[in-house]
Amino acid sequence: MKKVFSTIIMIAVLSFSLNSIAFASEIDILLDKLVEKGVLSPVEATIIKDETKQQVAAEIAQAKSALSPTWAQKVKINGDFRLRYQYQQKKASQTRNRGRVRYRLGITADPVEKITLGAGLASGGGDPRSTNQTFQNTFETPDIRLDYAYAEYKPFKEISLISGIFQNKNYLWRPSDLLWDGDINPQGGAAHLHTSLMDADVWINIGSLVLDESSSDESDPYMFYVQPGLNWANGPFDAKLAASFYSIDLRKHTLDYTSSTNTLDSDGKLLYKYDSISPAFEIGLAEPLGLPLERVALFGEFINAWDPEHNNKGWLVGFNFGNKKISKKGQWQGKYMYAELQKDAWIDAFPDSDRYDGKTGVKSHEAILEYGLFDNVVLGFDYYNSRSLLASKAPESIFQADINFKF
Amino acid sequence: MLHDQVILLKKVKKSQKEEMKMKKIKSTLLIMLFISMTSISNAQDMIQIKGSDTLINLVQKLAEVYMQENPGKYISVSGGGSGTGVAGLINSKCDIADASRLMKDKEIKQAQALGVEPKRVVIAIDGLSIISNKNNPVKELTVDQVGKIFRGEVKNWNEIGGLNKPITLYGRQSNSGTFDFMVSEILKGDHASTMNRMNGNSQIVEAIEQDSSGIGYVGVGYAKEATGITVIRIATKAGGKYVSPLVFENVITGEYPISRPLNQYVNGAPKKNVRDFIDFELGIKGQQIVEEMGFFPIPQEYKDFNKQSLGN
Repeated sequence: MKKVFSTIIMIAVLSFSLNSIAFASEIDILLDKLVEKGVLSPVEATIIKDETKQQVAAEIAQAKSALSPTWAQKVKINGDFRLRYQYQQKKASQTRNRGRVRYRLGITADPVEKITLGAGLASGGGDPRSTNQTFQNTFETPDIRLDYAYAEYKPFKEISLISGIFQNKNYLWRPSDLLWDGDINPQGGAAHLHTSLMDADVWINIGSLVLDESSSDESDPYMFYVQPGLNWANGPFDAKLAASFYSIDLRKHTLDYTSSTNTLDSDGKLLYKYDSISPAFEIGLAEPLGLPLERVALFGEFINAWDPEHNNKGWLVGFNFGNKKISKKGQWQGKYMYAELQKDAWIDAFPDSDRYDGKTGVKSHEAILEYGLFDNVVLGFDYYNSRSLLASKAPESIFQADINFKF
Repeated sequence: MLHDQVILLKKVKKSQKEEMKMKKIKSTLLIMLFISMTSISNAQDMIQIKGSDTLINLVQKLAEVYMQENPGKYISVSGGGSGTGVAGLINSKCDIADASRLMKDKEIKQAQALGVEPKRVVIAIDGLSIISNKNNPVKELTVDQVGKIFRGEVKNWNEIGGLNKPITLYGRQSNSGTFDFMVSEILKGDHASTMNRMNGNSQIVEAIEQDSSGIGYVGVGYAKEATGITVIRIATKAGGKYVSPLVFENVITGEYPISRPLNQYVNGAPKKNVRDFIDFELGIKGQQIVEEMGFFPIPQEYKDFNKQSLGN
């Protein structure tokens, strides 16, 4: 049987590399003949058929990697390019049209086992909340900045540690960009610990982030956070729950890239600490009621800062439907969110920069529709209707049409 | 003056309140961190099994008996579908992935990229059973007819010798290995969009018992004990012999055309506690449980295959 198996594997690898469709039927016919002639039992034939499929897939994957030099096997490159048209209307008479691009290039490498180094370059200026480059200034050559650079260490499967300027999706979960613009890559260090408990994956994220450094003052502002949470899935249901605890003392400090909506003291410095709690959830249901939707999900988050007595709360609730992720042609997703973020609920340097210029003291509706034009090419439409919670109540609408190419 | 003192007092009180609040939160977080670390250390010894809903009852029973016979050993078994199990193995979230199908090419590729070396063990044999309501006069179908029915090309029972009733389809969700097996081996195409996508085998059996025009597919272990259903006899082609999956010989000789091995995947050479449990599953007691749960024990060929796969 071993000889038959090796011969068939060899034939299969050769046939597969020539013609994958021919492979399956030829092997099946050959095996059927061998069973008919009593060379193989039906069970042996099934084993050979199954193992051939598995081994051929493994050998082809291996052969592909064997063609690459060793250094190339340790390095992965990814990135995306986004073309955007943006229409913005603040008042009836104040409109703005912009063409924009975003280009991001990331490289990760595993110099030794359990350690990953990552670095990314991105278009845009110094604003941590935007990597967009607007078409402007008579074809001016735009900047490319260091978007992130980190070292990540995974000593055990339950623990990950990261430090540097890092993408923190795995180290601080949030279901929306109410508090954190998706472009922000924080600086400092963080840990992610997780374990399975019953049917759930229970985890805790811990982080220490540096917000600024002063050459003349020792009281540099830091942010510490702890975020316990769990992921649970059973049949068509899935849920992700978390609560973030932030400890941030920004009194007597000023921050760069703020939206200038937080309350300041008479010296023009921030008046409050932003110690806060932020529970968040996402609950999903696969293929609801037999509808042709891969998943529907309800999600939301809440924030309450303790130091300010007033205007210290924020919340967002939303739902999405369609495919969970869009990476293939024909996949799609619709999403709607409603958000309110009071003036001193959160630091005004971090919220989504497209929601009323990233300010606090806003309420906003957002609707998104995305469709996979091709594999890794996504067409997206995003509409914001936002207004200030403050006295002026000036409304703002933004419409964005994007094509995003990922690699 | 008095007004200023009141304000100052309010501020001091507020500050004290905040400090108390922060202290409480910090101690709660420390406790949570401690619990989390403790559960991580306990979890090191627990065997985590995830995956196929076809296998879940069987593996839960195997784990239950194993833990009774081996005090101090802990096994957690959860479902979610074969895809969930295989993804769990690839991402090191479980020790054993239950799968009622083979790993897909892209899963093998992902596993290789992450340094995971999947090893397959076959723990039982299933004759995937096509079931209808017990009052349905159609008792026999060919593989081709089953494909046409689940692709939605045959819509009424009278097209295949039954009553004039529209066919109601009951199948599994797309994360199910059984769903994938049907797609690749029987349908050779997509399921009809009108099919009711059920969470598990038991739900399909219950639905068919209630629905006189229903047809569905379940693992033989779920069909054997059910009372309100007919297990349809299947022929490889028109004019061929119609055979039942309830008979071991039909399944093992390949006469029943929709049989399949039920698999578990591990990463490389399993740890001792995982290997001990697998040895129990494949041993005499484990295989008796396989039969008790309605599936078929593995023949000698699969015993040899398992030895080769895991190493002696």
